[in-house]
Amino acid sequence: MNKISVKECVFIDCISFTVVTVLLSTLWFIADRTAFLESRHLLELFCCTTLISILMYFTSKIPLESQLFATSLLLLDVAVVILGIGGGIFQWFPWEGKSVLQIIVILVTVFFVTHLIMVWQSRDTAKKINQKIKERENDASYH
Amino acid sequence: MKISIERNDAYGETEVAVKCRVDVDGKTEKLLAQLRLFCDEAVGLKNGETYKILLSDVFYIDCVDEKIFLYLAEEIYESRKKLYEWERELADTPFVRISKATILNTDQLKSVRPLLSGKLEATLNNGEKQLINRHYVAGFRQKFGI
Repeated sequence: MNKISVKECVFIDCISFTVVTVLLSTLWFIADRTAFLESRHLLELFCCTTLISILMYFTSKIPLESQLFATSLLLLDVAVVILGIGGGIFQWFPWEGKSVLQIIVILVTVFFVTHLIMVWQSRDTAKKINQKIKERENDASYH
Repeated sequence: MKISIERNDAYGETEVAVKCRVDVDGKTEKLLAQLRLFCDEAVGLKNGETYKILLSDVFYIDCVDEKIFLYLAEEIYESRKKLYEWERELADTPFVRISKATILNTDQLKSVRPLLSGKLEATLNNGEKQLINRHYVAGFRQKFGI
């Protein structure tokens, strides 16, 4: 697995916090139009996303060859914090089969959205590099 | 930048002299790196024999089982230098570290393609493919001024 740098750690924290906040606000709005997210909830959310990115920072240092294994380990980081801290300490949801299952569905979705954004970022990088290569080739043929 | 060329049959080997300020600008730095790469030679070993190789002909340098290999378009040579020594020596050239075991010559790069894992796949001018690990993408981008 590739080691996550401190910069990437902050990037993951910011993106995941934004995505979770938007997703939860949307779900709450659909379920109950009078409901709103309190600042306490947002701080708890931020605490969890930060803990997740810190956990990812350390687990990414484990030398794993398989990408699937590495991705699963990162997903496990998310599950541990949400189920342990979110469900256990902040008591966001009761520890019942149905609630736990719903949470797992949400966090898997958020995880893949975050992953997709990172893939999109890498597509952008590839596009820019290919453009530079083309410019360099044009320069060489011109001279 | 001024270029002056003196042609004279009395000269033996071609000599390139660059007259510049101590604090060189980006353009000059690039030119010096290219000149260094074009003139610098590496020593490669193959079948017990020693060969001189132009660094600009090297596509990538790879570490396999603690041995260092120089990969050219079609040939492979072993090198006595360690990968970190190569990395230090080639710091100001188009060569860049792309993984724990590989240093790539970006002048021999044809294109890059993103992978789902966040890595980039580089296709070289000889059709070979190399993976650029996510950890090294930032340094790779810098070589292209991105």
